[in-house]
Amino acid sequence: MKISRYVELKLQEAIEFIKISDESSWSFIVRVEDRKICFAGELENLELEIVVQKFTEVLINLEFAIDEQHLEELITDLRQVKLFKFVNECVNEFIKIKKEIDAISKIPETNLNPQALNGQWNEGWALDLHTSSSTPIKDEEGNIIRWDTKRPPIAEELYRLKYHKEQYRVDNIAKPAAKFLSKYKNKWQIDMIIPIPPSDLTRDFQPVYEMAKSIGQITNLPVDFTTLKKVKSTSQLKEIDDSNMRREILKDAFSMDAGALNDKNILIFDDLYRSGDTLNAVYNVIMDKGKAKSVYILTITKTRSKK
Amino acid sequence: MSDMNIKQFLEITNRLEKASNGHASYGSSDEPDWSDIMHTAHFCRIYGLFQDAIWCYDEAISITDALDVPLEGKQKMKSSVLSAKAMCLSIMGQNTDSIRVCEMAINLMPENHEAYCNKGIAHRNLGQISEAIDAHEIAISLNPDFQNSWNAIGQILVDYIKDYKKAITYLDKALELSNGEDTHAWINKGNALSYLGHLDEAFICWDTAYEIEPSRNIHAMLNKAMWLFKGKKDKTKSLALLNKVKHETSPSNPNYSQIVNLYNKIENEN
Repeated sequence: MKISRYVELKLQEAIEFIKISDESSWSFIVRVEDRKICFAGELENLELEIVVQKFTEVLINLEFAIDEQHLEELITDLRQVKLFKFVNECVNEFIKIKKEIDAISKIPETNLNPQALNGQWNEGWALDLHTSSSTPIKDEEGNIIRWDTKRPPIAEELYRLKYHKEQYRVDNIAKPAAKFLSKYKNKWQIDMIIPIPPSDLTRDFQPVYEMAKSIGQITNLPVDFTTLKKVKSTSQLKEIDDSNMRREILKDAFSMDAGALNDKNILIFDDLYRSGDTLNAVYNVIMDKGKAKSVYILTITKTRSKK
Repeated sequence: MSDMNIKQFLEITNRLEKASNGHASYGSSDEPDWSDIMHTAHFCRIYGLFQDAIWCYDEAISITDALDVPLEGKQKMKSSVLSAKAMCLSIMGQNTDSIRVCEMAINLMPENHEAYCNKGIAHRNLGQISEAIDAHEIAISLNPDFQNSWNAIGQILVDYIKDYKKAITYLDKALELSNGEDTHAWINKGNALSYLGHLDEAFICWDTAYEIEPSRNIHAMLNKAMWLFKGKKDKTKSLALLNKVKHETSPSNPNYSQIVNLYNKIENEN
């Protein structure tokens, strides 16, 4: 449940309570960790939408997260004032939140070294670096015969998934990603995850889609595979080092229907952050055409250089 | 209406007055018209006088032709009456007759979604599950806002097909359409959730059904008590709940003895 909806229901319950009590003004209390925040106001000239928006912002700033107890209390309050029409929605949320907490708690801690992804978006993170070191191995004559590349654990999983086609690695990546995302989910108030469409649509197995699907299942976030469309075929960008050429290839490569993401908070998901060109191109489409409210980024790894 | 039928009607209204403790009685000295007969039938159904309700429905049908309404209107009226009669028949266990009457109602008015719903209920009572679902699906296609059939399919999915997740989607729709007031849907959803292992959420559903209308939803609390004992292994809470419900229920309630029986059963079990 989004915080704005939670606030709206608390407010509806508080207003309804006035009808069965002698109170003249409404009030409700929200527990934020060990603090209790009281919201109150007069019924007269109440502009519900504005009040909800204002209180939601307050709670987001306080890093409020809806837990099982919040929902249980809300259900009890709604039943007390006979607002049964909202109870079922809360029951379904209650099931979801318990399932999510259960799933996240079962994921073992993974050694991650998160990397901030700076850009025009609201906030972005890569779970770790793509490689930790890459040392040339030379033959007797000093020619480089191969590179000895060391990778952080999650990057190794990604490498195995992408280049060795070890499909079972999806879960090993999605689980820590979901656990990481769960820490930001409330703050970001994400409406949906949009994975970056693949360069090669002919492959049966699309690692980014599979990872996004799995992350969505664990975190109870919908994954949208259809709104963002790839309208221009792009060759696989990893082979293109020239930044200008990459940007040119990506120009008009993505599209979506006008207003398709109106006022939504979007999480763009990709496997690798290199130059940020792909994510910038997608960001522009999502904001300019899709009219999203905010965009957050999650990738599994980030290269040490921009190439 | 013949004198003999008026006499019969007045006998029914007397029985209804007694059954309802004076809450539902025909208080007019005028000859009853179509609407009076239908009202009486409705209350007979509520107070469990099903045979009397059926007599009223038959009488209402017999006088419909004499009414000053267009033919199409008469057919719709007859169809609605037949549908209501079918419901009584199925409550009385006469499900084959109920289906036949529903089909007559549907012939007169093919868009009668209630007749399809009642047909679905009768089929379910006969264990004809796929026919029941088909009938309810037609009812929903004719009137997507008809919560009874959404709930009925949900219940079939819980009780017979054991597809609890799918059941919940139907029951959620029934709850949405009823603004959360459909106690049958709450109970059925509680049942589905309990089978899925979501006991805390099932308890919320049953509590809600009981809160909306305690006297008619005692079995919601019986379910909860049972699962508190069997699922949560909490005999003390289970017995405390049954005790509370017993005190809140009138001994004249038909389900009162079930509370007592379950209490004794759980108390004697380890």
